[in-house]
Formats: sequence, C-alpha cells, structure tokens
Amino acid sequence: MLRGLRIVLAVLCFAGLCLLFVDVSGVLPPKLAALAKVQFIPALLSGSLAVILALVALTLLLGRVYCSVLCPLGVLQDVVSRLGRKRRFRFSPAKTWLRTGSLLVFAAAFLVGIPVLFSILEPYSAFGRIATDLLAPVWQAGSNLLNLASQRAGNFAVGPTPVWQKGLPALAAAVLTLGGIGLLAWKSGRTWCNTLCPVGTVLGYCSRISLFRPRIDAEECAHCGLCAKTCKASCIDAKSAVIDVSRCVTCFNCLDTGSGGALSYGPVWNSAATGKKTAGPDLARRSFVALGLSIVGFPALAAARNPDEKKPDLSRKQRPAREAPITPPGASGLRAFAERCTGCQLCVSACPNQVLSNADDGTGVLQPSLSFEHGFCRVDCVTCSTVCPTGAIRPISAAEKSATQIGRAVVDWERCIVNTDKVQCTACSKACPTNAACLVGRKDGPKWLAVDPERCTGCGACEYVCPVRPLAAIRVEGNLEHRRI
Amino acid sequence: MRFPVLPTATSPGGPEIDEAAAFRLVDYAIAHGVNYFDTGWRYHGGMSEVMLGKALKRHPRESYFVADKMPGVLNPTLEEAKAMFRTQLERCQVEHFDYYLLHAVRSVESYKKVYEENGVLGFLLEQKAAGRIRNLGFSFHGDQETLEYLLSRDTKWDCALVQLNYHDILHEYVPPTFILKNFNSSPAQPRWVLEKMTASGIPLLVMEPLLGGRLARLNKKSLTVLQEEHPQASAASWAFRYVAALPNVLTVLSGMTYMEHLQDNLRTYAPFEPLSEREMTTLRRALDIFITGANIRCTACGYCMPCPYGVDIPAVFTHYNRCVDDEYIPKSERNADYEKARRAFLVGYDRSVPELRQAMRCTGCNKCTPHCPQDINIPAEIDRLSKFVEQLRKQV
Repeated sequence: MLRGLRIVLAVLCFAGLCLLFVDVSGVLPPKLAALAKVQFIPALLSGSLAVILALVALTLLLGRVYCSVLCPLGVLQDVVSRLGRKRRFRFSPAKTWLRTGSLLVFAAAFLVGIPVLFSILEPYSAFGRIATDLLAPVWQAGSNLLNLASQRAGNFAVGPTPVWQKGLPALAAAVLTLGGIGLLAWKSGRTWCNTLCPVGTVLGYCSRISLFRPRIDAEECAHCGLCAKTCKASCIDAKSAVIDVSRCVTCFNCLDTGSGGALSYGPVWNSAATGKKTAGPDLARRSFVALGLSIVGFPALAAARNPDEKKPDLSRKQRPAREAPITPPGASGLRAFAERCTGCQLCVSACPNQVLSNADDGTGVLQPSLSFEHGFCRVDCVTCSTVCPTGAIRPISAAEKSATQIGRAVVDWERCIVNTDKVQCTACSKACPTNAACLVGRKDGPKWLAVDPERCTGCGACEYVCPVRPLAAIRVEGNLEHRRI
Repeated sequence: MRFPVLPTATSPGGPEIDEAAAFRLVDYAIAHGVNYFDTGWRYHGGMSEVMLGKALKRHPRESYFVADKMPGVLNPTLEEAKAMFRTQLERCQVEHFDYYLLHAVRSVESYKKVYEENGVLGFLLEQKAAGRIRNLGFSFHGDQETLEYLLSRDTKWDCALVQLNYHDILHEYVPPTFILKNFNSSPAQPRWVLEKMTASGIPLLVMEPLLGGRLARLNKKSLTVLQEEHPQASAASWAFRYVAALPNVLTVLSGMTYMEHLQDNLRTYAPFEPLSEREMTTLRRALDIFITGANIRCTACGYCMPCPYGVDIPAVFTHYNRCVDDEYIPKSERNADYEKARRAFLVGYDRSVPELRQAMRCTGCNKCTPHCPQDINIPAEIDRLSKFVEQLRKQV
C-alpha cells in the first residue's frame, strides 16, 4: 500500500517536472513551476526558508520521502533501475567518508565560487540538464511530427517548434550525468544518492533521527535476505537485521517482499518498546552542523570567469563574443545571477523567444545567458523569472522589465551594410521596440546608424534581424549590473 | 501557361515541370477546342517555353496559337533582345509566334528606353514584316500616361494583354501611386483601362481574370452567396463569365495547373453564357462581402523574388490574405474568438514562412517594389504585417 502510494506520487511529480521542462504547447498551468521551487538546493538558494523547513520537517518525520517522490533525479534512477534484474541488490556498508567528503566539496565549491562543480553535484539541476538537452529535443521533434499531422488535418492544434542545440557544455554535462548515474542505477540502484548527492547526505543526517522509519523485528526475522535483495539503497543488513536509516529512501520495496512480518514501517517509539533494531541516531548532532554549513554558505562569491568563444553554428548567425554576458531581466546583474544559478536549464527550456542558451560567455559554464541568433527578448515576456527556482532570476513584472536595461546595442559601423554597400537598410531601426536604434543624417546626405543608450533595453531585436552575417553588425553588450531607464 | 510541377524534385530554376501531366493537359485542351497558349521568357525560369514547345510539337501547327513576350523589364539592349527572340523561337520549336507581346510595360520612361532608344520595337516590327510575328501587342501594367502614350504612337497594335476581373472593375480599384515612381502619374484604374481600350478597338487578351487565383478561392460567406444561385458552379466560373463577356475580348487566359481546372473552365466556356442581370446582382453582393476584408493585392506571381535578404514576400502576403479570407485575423482582444484567431494566425505563419524568411527580416531596400505588377508598396506592407505579427506574438 505504502509502496503503491509512493509510486503514484513519484510518477505524478516526475511527469510534472518533465513536462515543465519539455512542454511547448503553453497549456501547462504556471503553478506547475512550484515543483521546481520545492527542490532542496534551489529553495536554499532562493532563500525559501519555509520550503527548507518543510522539507527538513518532512524528513525528520517520515524519512527521505523527498528522495523517493520529489527529487526528479532520484525517480529517474528508479526508472532506470527497473530495467535491471529484480532482486539483484545486496547490502553494502555506508561510505561515510565519501558522503561527507562530497558534501564538503559541494559546500566549498559554492563558497569559493566554482559553479561548475557545484551545479554538477546538484541533483535537481543535473536532472534539468538531462531534460533540457536530451529529453526536450526528442519531445519537440515528436511535437513537430504532430504539427505536420495537424497541418494535414487542416487545424492549428499543434504549431511548429524550433529545435536547436542550446549549448554544448550543458549537453556534455547531461550526457555524462545520465551515463554515469544511469549505469550506477542500472547496476545497483541508488548508489549516487548515498554517496555523492549532497542533498541525499544532508537529508540522510535528518532521516537518521526520523520519527517514522522502517525496521526489522529481530525475533521474527528469518535472515532470508530477501529484503536486502530488493533494497535499491543497499542499506539493509539482513545478517544482523539492521537497517541504515540514513541511507533509506523510504521506497517501501522491502515491505512488499512477502518475507513474513519481520519488516514494518512505523513510529520510532514502537521499535524502542519491542526492541526492533535500527541504526541509532548517534550522528544527529553532526547532521545539524552540516546543514548549518550549507545554509550559512549561500551568500557566496562571484563565479569563475572563462570567456571562451563559442563555436559558430554556420547555418545561423554566429554568436558574437560579448565583452560582458547578457543576463535575463530579473537577475539584476551578473554577480547576483552567477551566485545563485545552478544551471538547471529550466529557464532555457521555458524561454518562448529562444534567447536563452547555455554558453560560457562570462557566466559560469553551465549557467545560461542571452543571445539573439534564434530570437530576441520580447518586451513583455517574463517567463524565465516566473520559473527560476533558485532566485537567480527574481520575479519581475512586464512593466519593470520594460524599464530595465540588461545591456545596450553597439553598432559595428565598419560592417553595417548602410556603410559598406551604401544601401538603405532599416531592419534594426524598424525592429527596435523603443526607437533606440535610428538611422540619422541629413535628408539627402549620407545616413549612419546611431543608438540611444538611454533608451535601449538590450532586447536584441536589432541583432536578431541584422542582415549582416556571420556576425551581426549591431550587437548587444551586457550590463554587469542591470539599470533602470 | 502555368505548368504542373513535380512535388519532390527541385532544380536551380525552381520546381521541375511534370512533363507527363503537362502533355495530358495540353492534349486534352486541344482536343476540346482550346487553341491559345501563352508563355513568357521568365516563366518557370525559362522552362515554360521549352515545355510548351515540346507539348505543342506533337500537334499540327495550324491547330493552335502561341503567344510569347519580350522581357522589357530586364532592360535588354538591341543585341540582347535579338538573341532572346531567337532563343524563344528555338525553345518553342516554332517558325513564328501568332502573338508576341512587349512584356509588362510599366512606364513611359522604361518603354522609351528599351523599345525606342534601344531600338527593340523596330526589330520586332521587322520580325512582324518577315512573318515571324503575326500579331504584335503589349501587356500593360502601367499608369494612365503610359497607356495613352502607347495608344498615341504610330505603331499599329494588333492586341493588348490587360488585367481585367470583376473584382477590379466593379470595385473601381485604384492602384496606389507612390514615391518611387513619377509623382505626377495618374493611376490606371482597370475600369478606365477597359473604356480606353474599348474606344481604341484593339482586341483584348485578358490576364488575371481570377486575380492570381484569389477569385477562385473566395471566403466562405461570399462563396455561399454565389452557391445559393448556382450550387454546382465554381467561383472561378463566375469570374470568367463576367470577364469574357466584356467588349472586344478576344480571349481570356487562365493558369490551369490541374485537369480539374481545365475541365471546369471548358464547362464554363462551352457553351458560354454571359451573366444575366440577376446574376450580376448576385455577383456584386458576393463581391461586397469579399472586399470588406482588408486584403493585400498580391497574386503571388513571385516577380519580386528573390529578396536579397531572404524575405519570402509572396508567402507572407498569401498567408495574410488567406487569414483575411478565412476570418482568422485577430482584431480586438475583446472578441470572443481572439485567442483562437491569434493562435491560428501565428501557427499558420510559422508553418508557411520559415523563421529566417519572415517579414521582420525586411531591410526596406526596396529592390522588390519596381518588380511588382500589382503596384504594391512591398516594404510598407511587409513592415505593416511585421508589426502586426509582433503585436500578436507579444501577448503571450
């Protein structure tokens, strides 16, 4: 019963999160973004104290339900794990040094400002990159097939969706994560969650003293080992009839093995009364120390800068090498953005204007920035700010956005066709929503292009429509700190 | 002649003509009494003349008339014009053209330049004297001054190809004049052209009887008005019955790509019956409904293409016109169907015009406008549609 409930809830949450990343129809309720906002590390970064307290309380009460239901990377591992042989698991001793070490590395990466290491270890973002770079293209290709069908049927039920590669670093990270964690899951279940995952470790400290927990009745136990074979967390030692609760992800698989009545899940005082064995809360104090470290750690330092140029996509305009990256409106500036962004790519997936992508142009390797080869940042769209779970992009209203300068256009007059080809070109000035880009000059005399930096919002419409290739003759330079105009 | 094309194969000059289908059409047409075949230098990237030659070669020369045109818009010198004319005879595999037209005369200046200063008209008159042209005429796309100038010359015009259809005549369509051309020119209204040509007595060849196919594809409401009178008659048949009954009309051209078009047209003309008083009233009523939509007069002829910056001008206009006809133009957010219409417009736009070829890419270079036989101010219209699309896209 408990197992069934867990599976239903997990499937619902997982499907919801997948849809959040891949949906192109625009019919999803915006509230679904809450599934990302209750993720542990994003909530920690966005300062959602209520969410953190709720998650910790949930774990202290029931154990690591979070890992089995809410965490998409955990559920993904369960999905992969199902592909392997049944009852293939066996007990392994806790690798405490690895768990603690990984958590320390994670915290250190955050404090010192190595966002790559930090985002690679962060479970929700690891899933986000898999969803954005591996699942979404497949889903969108399917959507495009439906578009063809809908076109043949003469209706507008499904429209065409642009599919493009939104950044190699994130793709590489997604492939490696899926390959590595997938292999581990296929072989031995939740290994990752109980070794490297920082959230798993922190919640493990909590679940060690949880009120409800699985336990083995030592008197009833026949030491058949069936429960250990079904335990994907490898935390049941059947020989000594002990369960390592800190590693248990409360999947309830062991309860359904039919190995008699020795296994049960219930409040801790029952087990104390009957002498049922679980590993004791001897490390409880340390768990709070570690948790405290993570919370104190979040006003961290700036990201590492590594202005590598992105390799061009020749079928499109090239992404220019910007002196400063363009961060989304709502980020308030590069520093604040780089501190909080975990590179989950949810904004990249959600952006309806195709301006966000993952390129290392001054933001962290896995952190997205704006560029205008596939579209421009339309003035009234605030989608990224509504989905961002970590507070890297703060909620912003369309009115605020229209008065926010995220960058400003810079003219490369040497390459503008008005100059080189002596033709009339009004592409950028027509596209400019604020009339900041204008052709100036006397009525019959030569014209040149000028930008009013006080009006430009950095939306990139000019760069997007500029006919000069492979690099546009007008490009947006990011503002390190966003300005009010 | 507008040939059927193969759906898959493409060649540098555009889609390849489906030869078997083209032969079937020509054979069927000749067998049922069609005898006038019109082609031009630029049609199908030059392949139209070749294909027509192949198709007609299989029939006795006296069973058909061939019409071809001198592409004056290309601004040829005398030598170039001579070479083109020779090529045309070779391509069409004929010794003479029954009808030969100065293609798309648009202004007095361009006419003077090519035909008088370059001497191309003299050359064509020589060809007529030599029997290689039986009837010499012009196809007209210009202003009033141009037509008056042409008619005031000494040249004897045997025919003239003009754009006439019930939409333009009954609606008293006024072509716009705009900056690029002569400020003082007066637009040649189709009704004025018809009166002028009728007075001149020159036999008329009618083009665009269906306004680039748009009169064959009316919107639902106006088609219903016509169908209430004749449930089985096509919208196109009404257009032909109107235009073929005008005075001095020698023949009416129609681009027939499919056998069904040909058969429908044959039914319209054999036997031919002009519209009755009552039917004229019905047609006016249908037209009134049709023109309330703010259409762009694009016939998708493609002469504006290729756009140096990649804008697919005909596709943009065609999509807009279709949406106007099908009432998928989102007007006010207060309308109940606004969201549906908006989605239909945008999804359809993204389907029919690839992202990199959409209206927003227009640089306003204006290279297209001089080529438009419909006098559309293309950059202005493209800009208007681009802003309209942006407005729709914003309200996500």
